[in-house]
Amino acid sequence: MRNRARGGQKTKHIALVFGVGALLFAAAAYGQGALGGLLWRVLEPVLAVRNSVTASEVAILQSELAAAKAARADRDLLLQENKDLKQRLGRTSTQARTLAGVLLRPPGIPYDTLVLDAGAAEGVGAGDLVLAGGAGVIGTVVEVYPTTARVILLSAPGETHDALVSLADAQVLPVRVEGQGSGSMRAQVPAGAGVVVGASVVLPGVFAGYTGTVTHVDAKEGESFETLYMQLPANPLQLRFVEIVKPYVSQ
Amino acid sequence: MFRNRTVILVSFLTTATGFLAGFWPLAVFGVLLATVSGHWVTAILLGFLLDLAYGAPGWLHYIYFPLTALAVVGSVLRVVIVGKLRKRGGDTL
Repeated sequence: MRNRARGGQKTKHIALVFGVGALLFAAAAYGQGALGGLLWRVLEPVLAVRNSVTASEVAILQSELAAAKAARADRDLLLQENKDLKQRLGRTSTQARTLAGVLLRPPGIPYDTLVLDAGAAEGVGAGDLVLAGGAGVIGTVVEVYPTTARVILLSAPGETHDALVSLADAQVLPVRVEGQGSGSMRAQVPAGAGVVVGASVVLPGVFAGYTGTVTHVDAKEGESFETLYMQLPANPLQLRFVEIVKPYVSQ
Repeated sequence: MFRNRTVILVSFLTTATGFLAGFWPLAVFGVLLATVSGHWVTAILLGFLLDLAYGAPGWLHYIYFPLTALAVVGSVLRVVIVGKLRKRGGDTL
C-alpha cells in the first residue's frame, strides 16, 4: 500500500512537472519576441557596464588589431573592384551604416551569434548585414528588439550561403559555404579547381561584401572534390564593435 | 530549508556569473545544478531566462527553448532515477 502511495505521488509529481513545463512553453512561445525584448532592456545596461569595467588595454588593442587585419585583408580586393565597377557601370551605391557595440559574443553565448546594443530604435531591421572592420561581412540580423538586436554569424553551424571564391586571372568560382562554428566555414569544389590558401571569399552581387579567406585546402588523392576551409574576416571572439548596413541601394 | 535556499542561491549565482563573465558553460552549469538538486522550478526559470537571452538559432529554433527543455527533461529523469533508487532501498539523494 505504501508503494502504491509512493508510485501515485511520483506520477503526480511527473505530471505536475510536465504540466507546468507545457504551460510555460506555450506562454513563452507565444510571447517569445516581447519577452526577449523586455529581458534585453534590463540586461543591456548591465552588460554595457560590465564591458566598460572589464575592457583592459590589452583587450582593446587586440580588438583593434583584429578589426585592422580584417580591413586590410579585403581592402585591395574591394578597392580595385570598386574602381573597375564605377568606371564601367557608372553606378554609385549609398548605404546607411549604424555603429553598434557587441554586448554578448562567443564564448559568452553558446551559439555563433552576437547581441548588439542597437535595435529598432536605431533603425536596425531583420536581414541587415553586419560588418566587422568596416568592410568584412560576418553575419545578418535575425531578431530585432527595441534597443538590441541578435545577429547570426555566417559561420554558425547549420548556416549556409552562396559565395564566390577568387581564382587566378580575376576568375571566380561559385560555392555553397557551410558554417562550422567559431568563425570557421567550409565549402566543396571540384578537384583541381585551382583554389589556393589566401583566396578571398565574397558574396555574389555587384555591391557584395568580403566574407572570408581560404585558410586550408584539403585535397585527397583520387577524390572528385576538394574541401576548402575558410575563416570570417574577423575573430568573433574578439569583436567589440560592428557596423550594421541596410541591403545595398544603388543610385 | 536553509540547505534548499543555499542550493537555489548557489545555482542562481553560478548562472549569473557565467552570463556576466561571458562563459556560457558556467551559466548552463547553474541550471544543471538546480536540476540535479531537485529544484525544478529554479532550474526551469533559469533555463528560460538563458533561452530568452541567448536565443535558439539554427535547428534549435524548432525546440524554441532548448535550455528550458533540458531543465524539464533533467527534472523528470531525476524523479525517475530517485524513485528507482528508493525502490531498491538505496540512500536518499
